[in-house]
Amino acid sequence: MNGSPGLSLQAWAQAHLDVARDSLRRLRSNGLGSLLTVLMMGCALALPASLWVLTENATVATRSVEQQFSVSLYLADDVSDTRGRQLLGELVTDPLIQRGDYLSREDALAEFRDYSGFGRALDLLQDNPLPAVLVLWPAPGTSSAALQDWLQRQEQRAEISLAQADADWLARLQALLAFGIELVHIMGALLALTVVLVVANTIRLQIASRREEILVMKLIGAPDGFIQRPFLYSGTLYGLLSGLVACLSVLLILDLLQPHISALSASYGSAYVLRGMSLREAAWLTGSAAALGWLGAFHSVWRHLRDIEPD
Amino acid sequence: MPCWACRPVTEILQLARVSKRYPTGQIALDAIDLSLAEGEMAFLTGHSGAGKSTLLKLIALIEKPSQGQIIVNGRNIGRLPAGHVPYYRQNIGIIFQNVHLLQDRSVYDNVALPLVIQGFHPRDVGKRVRAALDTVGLLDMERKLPVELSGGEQQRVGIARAVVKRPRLILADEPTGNLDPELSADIMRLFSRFNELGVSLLIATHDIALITRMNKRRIMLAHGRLDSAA
Repeated sequence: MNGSPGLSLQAWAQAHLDVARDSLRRLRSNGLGSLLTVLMMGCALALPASLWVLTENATVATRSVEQQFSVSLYLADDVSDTRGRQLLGELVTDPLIQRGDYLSREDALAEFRDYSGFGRALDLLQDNPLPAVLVLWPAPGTSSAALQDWLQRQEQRAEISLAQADADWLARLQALLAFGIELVHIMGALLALTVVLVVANTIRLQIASRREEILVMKLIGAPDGFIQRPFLYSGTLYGLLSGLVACLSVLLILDLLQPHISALSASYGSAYVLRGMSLREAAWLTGSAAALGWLGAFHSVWRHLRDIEPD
Repeated sequence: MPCWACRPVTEILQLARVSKRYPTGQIALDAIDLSLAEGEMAFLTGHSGAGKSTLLKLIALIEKPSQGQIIVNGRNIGRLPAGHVPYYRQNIGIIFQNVHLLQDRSVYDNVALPLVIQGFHPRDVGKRVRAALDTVGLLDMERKLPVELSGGEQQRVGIARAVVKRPRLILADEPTGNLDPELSADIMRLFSRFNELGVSLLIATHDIALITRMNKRRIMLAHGRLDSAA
């Protein structure tokens, strides 16, 4: 390109600003059509985004359940209190285990007496029938498979008569969560593709309707970059706006779901409040949507602009 | 390596045995040898279908010759990579019979377009656009849309757009094709003034009556060949 004296960074920035403004103006002048396109893309994005927020919530909830979840190692009758406490000291150093308690046979009996309501009946017994127990809390995020494996290994020890964890329901919960996350990924990919295709089609129509203009531009020496620019801005703008629509939809969906979640968690004796999207996540969603818009526009521009040549 | 750019260019345009054959077998141009000196104004005449438009299209790289060489400003444009074509076109002024204005932009914006494409500073754009509009006598029309202008005025906007970059070579394809004789004469006077300022012009026209009064070289095309009788 010849170095004309008027070239400057300021002029370059000004040109981009003008194009961005022009894209916005065209979008507005196309009123209802643009609005419908943006809403369609926004709804498409809102679905995986809200599912994602829900699985994030489920992950957090599962973590807190995991923290209340413990396993019990029942000690053989011939293991002394001292050895039992020593064993606890060894086991809590395992990275799988967060913390643990030792319940001696007497403690176990006292606890059973308190909770079972068999107080009097127990007094009739001559011996304490209950074994000593190590109650262990696994580290958060431990998979149930790893825990089962670990428990089986502990059961090999002579001191331990039985290792027990009612982990089946936890395993089911974790599997369900993994399924949910995978579903979010698959739907996210499909609906992201939808957004790209919607923008690609919208931009294709724009290119077709501005064919004359593109021809004139090419005739007077506009490079491809210059001709592409308004379309790329337009696609990015569609993406950006649909991202904002998606963010608002997610907020709305969470707001609609909150009463139901509250009722559900109240039945479990807790008061769970749905965690919404952080500002950062919203920015990420909007930014990704803008990038998808750009991608769709780029695809169209790449496919269709080269077909328009003066003849 | 010899410095081609340092060589004084006396011929702004040279065609050597240029032919254009369409896939249909039709021969639009047949072995044309032609040159235009720097600062020269010449008319390309002939009946419609004689190959005038094709010749200009080849020079503007809208079409590629089937054979032969076209050298513009010392440069063989046949070897220009596709990505360089826009920059090549930026340096020549092209005027069309169908003016090709952007209908949704003002006269000012239409004339400014070549400068905006080249990334001129907005301040310089304003000066140059007004100078160009002043030259074609449309300074008071800069805010109007093309539809609000007459045919002659639209053609003058097209001319302002072609000269706003101050090109050394202007190609015009039937610039007066849609205009009445008086307006046509105005346009030709405008071209003469550019020529007096040192611009080279190649103007295709079939309006013999118009150009006989002007004392300029005439290049006659007939059936895709140069008619030496002219």
